[in-house]
Amino acid sequence: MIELSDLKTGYRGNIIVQIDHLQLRQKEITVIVGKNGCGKSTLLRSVAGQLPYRGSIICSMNTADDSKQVASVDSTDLASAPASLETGSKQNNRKQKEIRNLQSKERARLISYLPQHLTIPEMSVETLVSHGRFCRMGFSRTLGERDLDVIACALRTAEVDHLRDKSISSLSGGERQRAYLAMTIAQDAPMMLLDEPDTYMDISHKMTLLGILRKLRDDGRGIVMTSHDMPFAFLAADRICVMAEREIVADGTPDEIASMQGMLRQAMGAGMRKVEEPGFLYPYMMESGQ
Amino acid sequence: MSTFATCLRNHKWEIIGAFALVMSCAIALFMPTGDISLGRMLSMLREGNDPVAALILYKVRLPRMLGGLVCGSALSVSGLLLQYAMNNELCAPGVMGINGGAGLFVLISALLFPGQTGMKGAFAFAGALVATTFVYLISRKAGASRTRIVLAGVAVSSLMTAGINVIVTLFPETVTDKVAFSLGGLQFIPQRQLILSGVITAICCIIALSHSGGLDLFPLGDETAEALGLSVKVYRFACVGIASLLAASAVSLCGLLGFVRLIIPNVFRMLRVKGAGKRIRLCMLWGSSFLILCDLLAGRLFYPYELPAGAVLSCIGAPFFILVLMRRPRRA
Repeated sequence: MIELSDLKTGYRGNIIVQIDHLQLRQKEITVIVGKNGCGKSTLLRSVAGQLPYRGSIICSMNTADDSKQVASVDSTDLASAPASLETGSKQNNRKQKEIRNLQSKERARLISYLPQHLTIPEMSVETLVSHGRFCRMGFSRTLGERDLDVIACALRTAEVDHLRDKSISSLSGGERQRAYLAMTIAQDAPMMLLDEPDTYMDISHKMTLLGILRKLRDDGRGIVMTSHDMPFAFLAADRICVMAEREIVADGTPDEIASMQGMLRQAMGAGMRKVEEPGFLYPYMMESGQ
Repeated sequence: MSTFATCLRNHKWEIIGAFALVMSCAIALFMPTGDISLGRMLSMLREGNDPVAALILYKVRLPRMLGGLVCGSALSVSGLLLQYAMNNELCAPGVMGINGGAGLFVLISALLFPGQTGMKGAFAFAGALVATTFVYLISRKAGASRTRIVLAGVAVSSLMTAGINVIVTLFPETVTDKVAFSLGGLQFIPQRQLILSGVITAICCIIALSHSGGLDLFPLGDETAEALGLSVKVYRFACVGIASLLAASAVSLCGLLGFVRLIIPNVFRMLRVKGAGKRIRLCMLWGSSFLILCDLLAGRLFYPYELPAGAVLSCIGAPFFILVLMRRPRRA
């Protein structure tokens, strides 16, 4: 779980995001929605430890029962497993860590983050995904048996197994996003932050993405993502946070958020209505803002 | 057997490079010239009663070969590190103000201590380090993004060049030294400087090799690399620091030899050699053997006149580089 309190963050002294209190939980898909420039990406970036902030972002990752992923790392890979997780599972208590005090590698083992803007490096999909293991490699910097297993599993989970030998530059936009998603999965962190992972995806890619996200959630990971596609957000989310004017103005299940029509129209410029008839891909439809 | 074959295929460039290096070292040491035949060299080695041959082997050829070894690997690894850290294939020590700084300080040494060639190396070294420290301090103040570091380098570089021009105009008698220095070559390798540069180069290369895993993350972009657990800023500054140490140690030995540091790293990028660690090893092998061979050619091509090794380097390197450049990339 990641707990934000009294958070103020931004660039060069300008406060872009101001949050009194917010919990980001595991086993949950949280989607942050809001207009362009409302601070969604900034929020993710600061939770990912990439921005200085005031207030606190406390990361308290859990023990064996909460996350299979991390637990298996603990038991089989003690040498490279993060100290926090080791002690966490041994003493069976949650160790609280402030994000800004974490070393880069330690943070990367707890929180993975997929930025919005992805480069097109000269490498194969498999190599890209193997870079996800960087934070778990020892001094020898070689991939162990377990690393290879995790990489193969991540390739399958993100459904890019068939593309493993292709170079990143030869992929379509949606495939590239899934390749990067596989890298983020291979990082094996209990919390995953995804900044608009669905930007370049058509509807069938989006449905594949939804399947991947749900599988990751069911494995015990926490997913926090931003999206501009409101119907998709309402379909994918267990929980929706609406951002407007630097703040979280609403936080709840899709049903709860959809019922706050006035707030939605103000924050998003459009309302959401539940579709009662069967046969629709999306359970909510957008309504005009007026 | 098949694993052995795969191993051979995976490491073919390393194997060929190691072979080329051994060959070029052997040729550099034992090539017959004038009345020094190969037989005379070998019999001197066996019996040790030929002072002239011994002098030529140990005092002329060995330092020169070792100089080529050190400078070749230092320059190409330095270029490679900068290219990774800045995510820019055209990055070279020249862009970081290293050449300008070294050049300026060599002129200053010629002004302060005319005729003392021993000071030249030490001053070149100091100049390169001063320039990089400058670039480092500026970019730390301005933010560590890669464009800012390059811009800071360009600014410092032009500042140093301005200094050079002022000195050349006011004290034209220093120019002879400057020309020899900026052409670059391995004709004069002071022993103490060779040991110093050799040790620094070895240490820097070992550090670079042992930390090569992080270099592979730079092409993913700063944000992604940071998210994967790399302290991008620290790592980038360390890369630039090690690259400048390497460049400085080479510059103080062989002057401003330009082409190695740009061409060798790019050749392996274009041949699609994967992985930073492998590229560093290849740069060390190929950079040094290439420089030793070019220096040999420079000395022998128009014997008894000696061309500057830098000129030969560019004459051979540039066409080869263009050839590799024109090879169409294979799409996967």
